[in-house]
Amino acid sequence: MAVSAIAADSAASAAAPSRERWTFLVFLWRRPRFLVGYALVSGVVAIGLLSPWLAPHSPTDAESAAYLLAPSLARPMGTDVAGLDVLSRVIAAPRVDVTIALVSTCLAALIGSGLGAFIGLWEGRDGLRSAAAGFGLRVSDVVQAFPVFALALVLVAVLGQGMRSIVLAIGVVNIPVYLRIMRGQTLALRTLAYVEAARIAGAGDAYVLARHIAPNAMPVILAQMAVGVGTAIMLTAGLSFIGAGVRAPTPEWGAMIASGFQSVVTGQWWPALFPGLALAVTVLGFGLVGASLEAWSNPRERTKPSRREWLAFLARVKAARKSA
Amino acid sequence: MNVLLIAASRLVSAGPQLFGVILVSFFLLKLIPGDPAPMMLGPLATTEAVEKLRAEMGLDQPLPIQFGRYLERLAHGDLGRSWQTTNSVTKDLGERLPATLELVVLGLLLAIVIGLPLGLAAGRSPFGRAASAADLYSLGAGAMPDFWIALMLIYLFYATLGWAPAPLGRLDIAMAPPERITGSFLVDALLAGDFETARSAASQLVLPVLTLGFVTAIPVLKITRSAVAQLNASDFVRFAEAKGLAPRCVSQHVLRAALPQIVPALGPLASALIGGTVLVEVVFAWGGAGQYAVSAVLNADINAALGFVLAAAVLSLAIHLLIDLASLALDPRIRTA
Amino acid sequence: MPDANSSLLRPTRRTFLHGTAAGAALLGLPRTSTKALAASRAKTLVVAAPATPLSLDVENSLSLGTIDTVGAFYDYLIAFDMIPDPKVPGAMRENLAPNPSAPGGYNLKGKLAETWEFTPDGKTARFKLREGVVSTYGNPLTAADVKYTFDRKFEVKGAGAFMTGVMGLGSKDQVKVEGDHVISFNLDKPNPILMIVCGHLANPIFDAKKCKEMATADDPWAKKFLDTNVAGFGPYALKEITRGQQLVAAARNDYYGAKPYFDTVIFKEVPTSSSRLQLLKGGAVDIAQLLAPTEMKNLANDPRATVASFDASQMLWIELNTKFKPLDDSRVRQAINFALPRKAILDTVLEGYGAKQTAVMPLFYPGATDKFWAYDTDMVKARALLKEAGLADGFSTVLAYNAGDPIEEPIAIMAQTALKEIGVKLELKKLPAGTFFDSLTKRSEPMTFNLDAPWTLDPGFSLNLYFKSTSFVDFSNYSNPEVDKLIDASLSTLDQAERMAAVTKAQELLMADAPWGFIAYPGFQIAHGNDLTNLTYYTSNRLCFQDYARAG
Repeated sequence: MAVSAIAADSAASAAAPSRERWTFLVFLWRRPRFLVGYALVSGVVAIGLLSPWLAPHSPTDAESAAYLLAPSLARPMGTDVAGLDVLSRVIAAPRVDVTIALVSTCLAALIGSGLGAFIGLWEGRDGLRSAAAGFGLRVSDVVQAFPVFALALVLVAVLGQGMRSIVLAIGVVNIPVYLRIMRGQTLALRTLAYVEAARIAGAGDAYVLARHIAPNAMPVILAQMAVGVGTAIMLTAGLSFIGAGVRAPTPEWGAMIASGFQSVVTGQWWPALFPGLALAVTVLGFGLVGASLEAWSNPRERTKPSRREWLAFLARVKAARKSA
Repeated sequence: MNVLLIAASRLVSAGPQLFGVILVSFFLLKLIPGDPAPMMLGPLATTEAVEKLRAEMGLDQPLPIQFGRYLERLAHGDLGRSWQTTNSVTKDLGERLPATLELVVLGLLLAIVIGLPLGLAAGRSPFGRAASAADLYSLGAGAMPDFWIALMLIYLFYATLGWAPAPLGRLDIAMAPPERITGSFLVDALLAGDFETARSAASQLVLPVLTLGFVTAIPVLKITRSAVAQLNASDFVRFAEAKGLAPRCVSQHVLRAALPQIVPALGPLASALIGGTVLVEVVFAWGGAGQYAVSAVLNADINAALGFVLAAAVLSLAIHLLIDLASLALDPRIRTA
Repeated sequence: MPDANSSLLRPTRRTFLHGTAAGAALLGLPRTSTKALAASRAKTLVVAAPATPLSLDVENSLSLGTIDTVGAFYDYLIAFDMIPDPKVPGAMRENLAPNPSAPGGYNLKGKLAETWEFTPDGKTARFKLREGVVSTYGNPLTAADVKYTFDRKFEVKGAGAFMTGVMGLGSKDQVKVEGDHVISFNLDKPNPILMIVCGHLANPIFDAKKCKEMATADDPWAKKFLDTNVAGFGPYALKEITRGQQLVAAARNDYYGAKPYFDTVIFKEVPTSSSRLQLLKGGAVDIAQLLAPTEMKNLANDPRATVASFDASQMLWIELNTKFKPLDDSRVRQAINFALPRKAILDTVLEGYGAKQTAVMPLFYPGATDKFWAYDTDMVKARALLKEAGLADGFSTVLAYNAGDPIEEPIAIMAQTALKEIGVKLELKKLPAGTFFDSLTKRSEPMTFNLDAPWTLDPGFSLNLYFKSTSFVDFSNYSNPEVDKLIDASLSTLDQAERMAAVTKAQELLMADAPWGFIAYPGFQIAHGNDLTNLTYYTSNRLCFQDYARAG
């Protein structure tokens, strides 16, 4: 009986996904703002991927003859103090920034959610598991008690410069966030009837988590991840700004802002402005994606009309009243 | 009675957490490459002199012993000495924490001033102009890193328009700091009746506080909006509207009811801000604790970095306590729970 | 876009008054008449520096702030005569030409020492100290102060250990007090640079009486006291020091020499160079130290300030650590030198300030020669050399640079691009200022930038400093027994001809061995307000407050 119940379950959820996706696209279509976010993100990722062919000059080879040139037709974004072309570096930077952000976010989400799920499931129950859960939570609290930026900085200082250290540092710093979210979701979901039913049927922890808890918690986690990618990019930029980021001359928006900072005073504004704009646009895109996922995961928000639709509706009501 | 109980229980549970923080920080910071002894003595020092200094500083002992000695000193209130400034860390932090707190407090206030009304308006009418403005603001401002906003503000208001003073620190270079009472130049100058200095301190504060407030307003906005939106559908609001109470009046009631949700969220925000002013401090050469911590970490100045982490953790706890007390005052339901 | 001539930065009556008010406020004077204000500001020298001194004790630290201030608070046995600087009108520099007929071999003037003489065998130097000199604490100068100074060098084992070594002093008993105002140095071998090392910035004379007063049981050499106080015989007294903020010095009325023009010196810490530039442009400071080349270029059209650029002893090079393969092969090091884009670096990053480095020491040092220079950029030769060394496919290595120095990163990137052409893959390692220094002294990186100068203008001294295999500063781990012998020979004879021959041969060998990636002589620049005159240049590359004056 348990087996057939499980089988029925899987059949039902197998049918659902395609319908879900189609509704999601419609949902996006009705909200142009979110579409913009997806467009921006895809645009940035595409540019980053295609940058070796799109960049007019090398992003890492210094051309000393092209020292601190102002923006012109030949050099739309000018060059910096090392003679590097700003445009080429700005479009090559997503490879670094977005990669670091995506990898570190996935790392944090996977580990954080994993830990959070088990903690949520084991908390308050008897024996060793409860103690382990409590301990895990305490450790997470300690990590969260650190100022985020300082902790990331210390980790990078310990691990040495380079992309790998930054990914690890940002990942570790964000684990408690996902841990807490997942724990909250698990605590709420584990009391539900069908979870209880699965347990009675003899399901183990891993099964319950994978089949029942994870799918329900997924939208919330994904929404957080999207926003997390944005904050990870900003954290990378911040680390590079104070000199603890990627190795020179790797193109990275924060490092570019840092090296362009001093030039602003002597009148050369372009090495700092363009990377900042590119960064803002990218983070904005991810923020919109995150907002769309958040709205999607909240049933009330999902079915809410957009402002345009609402105003159109009001207008129709007004017209109907008038004619009545 | 309740207040004391809560404070006491907080301190008790804080103990192990603080210890955890110190433990993790100590061993983590010790992993940072860099040996202060040769850095302090310069290139012409003999290996003998370097070894002597290391022994003096206790750096030749195994780590657990060094940790034990650190705890011992900590119990006496001694945070050690910073090798960069050659002052005691307590003295350094005493000078720099008020600078950071100035930014945190004023930044948070500005964030509330911007975020609360906007969040309220957006929450009350989800399709109104305020909602659109709030969306735009939170997405736009949230996408720009704070140090970049700071740079843009400097460029606009100082270099181009000349309205703001040079970003050279907390006070005009010609002014002497006022007599120290709280450590905040603005407050101390006002207390001493020195309006010239107070004006200078205030004008130096404008741009950094604007930067921080601008960025911190977003979470305030979000939480206010969601709390208000939830309350919009509640019974007492329906009743008030049905009675014919003006929307503005209803909004006031809604705000009051939303406060118990908003205030607790300010706690983590303020804690995050304590460590989060770092980049703004660097851009404005503020001389605050964040800047101090960054340079400590980068130059393997362990005592200074540890001191900062500890101070931040303690402040964090204090803030959480304050917030909980405020929540108690705001929400009678908690009191009787 | 901020324009250098925008109204903000052009001096107006308001900004001038603000500047004078600034000076007055700094002095803590009440706001009296504008004339009185202007007068006191005029006699105050305000300097914007990257850092206040870490310690005022030269035995402890030779940090940036220390080298600029120690020369104002302390005095030395001797100093060089000054001659007009050929490049900067109105400025003076040290007369470094050797003078074989003068005792000591150079054109020196007595400061704390009045006269001096050498025994014919050159092994003993006797100084007669000036009488009537008092310290900032009122203690008269006697031979005991000199004895204490040198004893301290031996006991404290800081920078002093290097100094005594290079002077040929093996133990403190070799410094003998022979009278109230007579002191002698008794060497085992004649040392040609004894005299000029006495004038070295790191050899000030301490006030023994005061130091002994301030000594404690566990601090017998008054290290704690001298860290934050001054016990010396110099023209300025320490008025206030707040580390991280500023240092204030006041001219002494009881100084034995001429009283300096500037009654007060305010040495302010302003960590960012662009802030220092702004302060100079606005008139709030008289000197802005260590500006980046682009910032100095920016002052070219400034109505208020200007840059005095001196030929200097500073050198900028890359240490090629011979401990790391394949940098142990001199052909590889030569190849690197052929590939470095010196002209590009000089024209762009250094904005034309400075000259190409063509020797292992500053060119104006006696005995320095550039006739062995061979490394003008030549990629073909570079590739050929690498092929010869069996590295036709190139190799990878690491170049470390100082995050605190804004010119090093662009130069590193340019070097990386250039070396890529010959197949050498450089990984750039950015180190914060503190750890950079540490890695340099520990010799832990294959290639590291170094910006330094040998302060004693002697070829034997310079070679000893950087290339003697036992030197603490031989960061490239260079070890050549033949060169060691030549260096020793040059430091143990008084025969000029012999010395020059040894030094020339050593330079020939060193240039061929190329333990350095030669880049530039960046020169020494003082960015100052137009009304500042009587600038001076010293081989220690420091400011000298007591020399300067204000025009008008």
